[in-house]
This record gives sequence, C-alpha cells and structure tokens, in this order.
Amino acid sequence: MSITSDIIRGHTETIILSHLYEKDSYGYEINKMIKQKTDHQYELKEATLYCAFKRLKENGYIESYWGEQAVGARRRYYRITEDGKKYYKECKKDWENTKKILDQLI
Amino acid sequence: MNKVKNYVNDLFKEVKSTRKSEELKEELIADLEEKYQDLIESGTNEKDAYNEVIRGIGDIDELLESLKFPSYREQLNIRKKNAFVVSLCIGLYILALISVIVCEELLELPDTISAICFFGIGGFATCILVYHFMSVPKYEKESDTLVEEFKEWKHTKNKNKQLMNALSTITWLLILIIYFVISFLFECWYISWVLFLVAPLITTIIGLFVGMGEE
Repeated sequence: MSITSDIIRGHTETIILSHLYEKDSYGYEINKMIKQKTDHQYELKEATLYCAFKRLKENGYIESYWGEQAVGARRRYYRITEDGKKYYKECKKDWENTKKILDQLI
Repeated sequence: MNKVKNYVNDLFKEVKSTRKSEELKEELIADLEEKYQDLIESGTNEKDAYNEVIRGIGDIDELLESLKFPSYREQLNIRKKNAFVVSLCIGLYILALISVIVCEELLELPDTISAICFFGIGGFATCILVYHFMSVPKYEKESDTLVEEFKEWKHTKNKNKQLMNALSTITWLLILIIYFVISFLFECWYISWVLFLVAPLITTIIGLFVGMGEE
C-alpha cells in the first residue's frame, strides 16, 4: 500500500485538476470524491491537498474564489484555468505513456 | 465540533496573522468540520471522528512555513514595479532635457520658461523615485532566532546599499540638470563644469551620513 500511496501522491496535482476539469469544487469535496472513486482505499491528507492547491495557483493552473454556502461557513472554491486545462492534458498524456512503459516492464 | 476548530487555532498560534493565513485557517476549519460532521452522520462516535479528522491533516508545517515568505510571484511583482518606476523616471529626465532644447531652440521661448519645464519635470521624477524607494516594504522579522536576525541585518545592509544607489543616481542627474540650466541661462560653459566636482562630494557626504545612521 505504501508504494501505491507514493505513486498516487506523485500525481496529486493531476488528480485535483481532473476533478476541477468537471466542475468547480472545494477542498473537502475533492477529497470526498477521491475517497468515493477509490472505494475508500485512498484519501489525501489536508496538508498535501493545500500544498498542491498552492502550487497549482502559483503556476496559474487554478484560481480560487469565495462561494457563499446556504448553511455554515463560506467556502473557498477552485476553478481550473485555460492553462490548467492544457497542463492537465499534458499530464494525462504523460501518465498514459508511463502506464504503457510500466506494463511492458512489469 | 468546537474541538476541531480549537485544534486548528492552536496550529496557527505561531503564525503571524495575515490575510493569507487567516483565509487558509478558515478554509481548513470549514473542510475539517464538514468531514467531522460526515463521520458523525455515518455513525462514528465523537472521539473516533475527532481523531480521524486530526490524523487526516498530515504534516502541515511546510504549508505554514510557506506563509511566512512572499511567494516567487509576489517578489516578481515587486521587482516589476521597481523596474517600471525607475524606467519611468529615467524617461522623465530625458524628457526634461528634450523640453529645454525644444523651448530654447525651436519655440524660442524665454529662458525662464525652459528652466521651469526642466526643473518641473526633473523634480517630479525625483519625487517619484524618492517616494517609491522609501515606501518599498521592509523585511519583517519573524522570530527571534539568529538566522532571522542575520537575514534582517543582511536586508538592512542591502537596503542601505539600494538607498545609496538611488541617492547617488538622483544626485548625479540633478547635477546634470543644474549644469545644463546654469550653462544655458548664464552662458557660462567655461566654468560650470566645476559642478561635476561637487557631485562626488555630495554623494560622499550622504554616504557618510547613511553609514553613521547605521551604527
């Protein structure tokens, strides 16, 4: 499992971008989706998640805005930018390549 | 529920309160509280839910550390602004020179008008330069460690150097302006060059004062 987590962690940014590609979202929602899609096998640490947000934001791949909630505290939503979409496609292509190579080797 | 909030508040205790850190704290609390709520609703007891939420945060030190320093992007913005102001002022100084030539040679206006143009534009540029370099943010001390003190000391030194550079540039340009104005007005080209001997004298004196202020 630890090797798996390491590999997944290396793709945190791509995972986040792939969720934001579908719709704007906030930290916990993204993490919840990851948990659901992986059938409760994988979940990001908040620290990892926010560090990834910060890097993505600094590179101009995502933007944030405050959205009002009907109940409870306001939330910081993230939105993917055009650059982010381009970057996501590159990352995805990279990953497909890696997968192909690993399949041949292992 | 409040326990989670208190825990996050504790995490941020050492962090200086800025807009950025307050927003991160708000975001973290909102996310963790929703997670806690979801766990409770799915039947986890309060203690286990709290523990799971706290464990899920992970190592946040790196993130908190990064709040202390301006990001690369912010530094870049400051540098861009510096470059813009300096180029603008150099442009204005050149414009000041051109305006004299235009007033004197092309429009043949009285000397006083060309002098007013000259000093007006040059003075304006100088004001912008001085104001800009005085209002550049100072490196703020974050904790009382030796490293921080060294950083601040180094920063003050660099800042003094910056100030000196700015001052000597301003002095030289002013001398140049005064040289042309006096020479044009009084037709005393034969002696006005003496001004260029005065300039290094002035910069040295300023340097002496800045150096004394440092001690």
